[in-house]
Amino acid sequence: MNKYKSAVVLFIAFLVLCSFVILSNARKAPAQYRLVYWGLSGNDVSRLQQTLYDWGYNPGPVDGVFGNSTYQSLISFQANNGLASDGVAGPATWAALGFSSGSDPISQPAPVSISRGVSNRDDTYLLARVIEGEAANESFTGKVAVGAVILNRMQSAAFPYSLAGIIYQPGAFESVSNGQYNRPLTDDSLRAAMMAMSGWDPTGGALYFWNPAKPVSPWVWTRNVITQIGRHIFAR
Amino acid sequence: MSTIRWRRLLPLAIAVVLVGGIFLWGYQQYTVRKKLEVSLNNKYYRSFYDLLENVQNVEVLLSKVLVAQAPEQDSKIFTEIWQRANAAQANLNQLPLTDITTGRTSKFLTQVGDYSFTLLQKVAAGQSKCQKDWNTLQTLYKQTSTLNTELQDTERKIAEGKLYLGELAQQTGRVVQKEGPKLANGNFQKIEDNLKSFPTLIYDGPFSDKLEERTARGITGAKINVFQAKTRILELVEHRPGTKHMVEGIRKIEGKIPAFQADLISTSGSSGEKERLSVAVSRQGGKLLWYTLSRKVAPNKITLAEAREKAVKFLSEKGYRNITPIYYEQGARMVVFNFAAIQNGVILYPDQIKVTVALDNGQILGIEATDYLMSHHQRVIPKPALTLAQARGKLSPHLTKISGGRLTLIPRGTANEVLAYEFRGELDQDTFLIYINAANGKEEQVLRLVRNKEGILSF
Repeated sequence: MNKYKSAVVLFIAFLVLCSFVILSNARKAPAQYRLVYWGLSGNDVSRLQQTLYDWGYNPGPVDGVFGNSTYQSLISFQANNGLASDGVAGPATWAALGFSSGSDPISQPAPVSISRGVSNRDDTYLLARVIEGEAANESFTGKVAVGAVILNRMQSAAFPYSLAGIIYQPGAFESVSNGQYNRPLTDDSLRAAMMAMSGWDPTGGALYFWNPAKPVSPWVWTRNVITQIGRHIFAR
Repeated sequence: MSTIRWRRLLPLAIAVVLVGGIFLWGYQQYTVRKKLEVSLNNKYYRSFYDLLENVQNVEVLLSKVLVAQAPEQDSKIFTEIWQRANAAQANLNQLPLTDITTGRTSKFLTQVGDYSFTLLQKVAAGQSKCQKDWNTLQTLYKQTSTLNTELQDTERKIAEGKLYLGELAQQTGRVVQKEGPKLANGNFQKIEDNLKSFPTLIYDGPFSDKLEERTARGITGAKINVFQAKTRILELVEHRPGTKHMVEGIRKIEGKIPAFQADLISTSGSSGEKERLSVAVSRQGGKLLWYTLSRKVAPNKITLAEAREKAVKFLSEKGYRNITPIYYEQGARMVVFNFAAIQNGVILYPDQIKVTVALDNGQILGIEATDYLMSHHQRVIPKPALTLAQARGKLSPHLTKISGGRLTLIPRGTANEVLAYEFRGELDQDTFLIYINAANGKEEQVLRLVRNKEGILSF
C-alpha cells in the first residue's frame, strides 16, 4: 500500500517537474549583454568564455563561472584590442568581441539613422536566416550558393517577385516549413547572405537545390544539374 | 475503518483527476489545432478566390485591348493587366502547392504582366501597338481564357465539396515532395500541362524567354583543360607573404558560363592557420568568375580608404586596370566594393566587378566578375549630341545642389545600352542620381541614393 502511494507521489512530482521544464523552456531570456566581471556566473559568462575561445584565448572550461582564467584571458583580449584592460566586459568589450551592447547584433538589426528606414538590411537578414536554416553545416561557398539560388528565383518568371514571397512560398524550403530558420544567426551566414546579395553566385544561375541523401521528388532530377557543393546538388 | 477506506480511495481519486486533466488538456489542444487549421484554410481560400478574380479580369482586359484603339485606352488597360497579372501570380504562389505544380502557370502570369508593362512603356513613348503586338495579345487572350476555364472548373469542385485546399497543404508536406507530378489532385497539374504546350514569349522585358539564351560577351580565348585551370587558379588567388595554396579538388560547373571550380586550402607559414577558398574560372579562356574565402574576421582595424586601396591594388595585379570604384556596402566586418569598367573616360555600368575586403587586415575575401564577363566588350561609344550644359538644363527645377555630369553607359531594357550624363542632385535630405540621354536629352533613369553607415546604395 505504502509503496503504491509513494509511486503515485513520485508520478505527480514527475508531472510537476515536466511542467516546470516546459514552462522554463518557453520563457527564454532576451539576448542582453550586461556587464560581466569576476565572480559572476550565468549565460553571459558562458557566451563570453565561448567567444574568447573562438578568438583563440584560453578562458578555462566554458562553465558559465567567471574565474581567474576567464579574467586573465579577458585582460589579454582587451590589451590586444586597445581596450581598457580592467577585466570587466562592458559595451566596448562586447562590441570588440563581435556583439553590440544591448542586444544581439545579428538577429536585431540596429535602426538606420539616416535615409528614414530605406535599407536592404531587412532582406539580408531574412536571407541569412534561411541560409542558416538550410545550410548551417555547409562550407561558406555552400552557404553563398543557397543564398544565390533564392535570389536567382527573383529573376525567374516561375517564382514570386519578392524575396519574402519566395521564402514563404508554401513548402518551398524545409527549414522555413518546420521553423528551423528561426535559429540564432551566425556571422558566417550573415556574410554569405551579404555576398549573395552583392551578386556572388557559385551556382552559375541555379534555381533548385536539394540534398540527395534525403527523400526528394524524382521530378527534380529532370532539371539540368549544374554542380554539387558540399551535400547539395544545384540545378536549373 | 474510514481511514482505510480513505487510503484506498485516494489513489483512485488522483487517477480520476489525472485522466480528467489529460482529457481536458487534449481537448483544448484539439480545439486550438482545429481553429488554426480553419484560419489557415481560410487564407488559402482567399488566395484562391483572389486568383480567380484576377485571372478573370486579365481575360476580360486582354479582350478589351484587342478592340481598343486610342493610346489613352491602351495605356489604361495595359496598366490594369500588368497589375492584375502580378497580383494573380502572387495569389497563386500563396496556395499550398509546390513550384513543381505551379511553375509554368506562374511563369505565364508573370509574362502576361511583364509583356503588357513593356507595351505600356511603348505607348507612353508615343508609339501605338503594331500588328505583331496585336497577334501576341490575341494568343495571350486565348491562353488566359483556357487558364480561366480550368480555374473555374477547380472552383466548382471546391464548391461541390470534392476538393479541399487544406488537403493540398497536407499533401504538399508529405506526398508532393515524393510524388511530384503523379499527385492525385491533378487539377493544378492539368492547368500546368496545358500551359506547357504554349509557345515561348519573346519581347524586350526582364522576364522574356530570350534572356535565358544570353551568352557571355566578355569570354574569349581558347578552351582550357583541368591542368591549365589549376595553374590559372593558383595565379589568380591573392598571394600574401608566407601563405601557400594547395588545390584540394576541382570539378566542372555547368552554369550560365561553363567553368571549373576548385576548392583550395591556404596555409599561412607563420601561424600554420588554414583557410578554405573556392575559385571558379571559365572553361573558355580561363577567366576568373568568382572566388570566396571564409575565415573568422577580427574587429575592424583598417579604414575604408585603406580597404579600397587593397581592392584596387589586387584588381590591377590581376589585370583589371580600366576600372573605377562606384559604390560600396559594409557589414559583418567586411566591405564589398563595386567597380565598373571605363572606356575613353566613360563609365560602363553594365560591366561590374565586386571585391570583398576583410576590415581586420585587408585580406581579399572574395571577388565576383560574372556580370563583367557577361557584358564586357569594346564598345563603340558615340559622340554626345548634347553638351554638358544642355543636358543640365533638362534636369527638374526641384533639384538643388546639382553636381556631377560625367558620361556613363547605362543599361536600358534588357539588351540595350545608352550613353547618358550622370547628375547628382538633392531634394530636402534625399540624394538622387539622374541620367540624361546624351543623344536626345531624354531622362533615362532616376535613382535614389541611400547613404547610411553601411554604405551607399542606389534604388
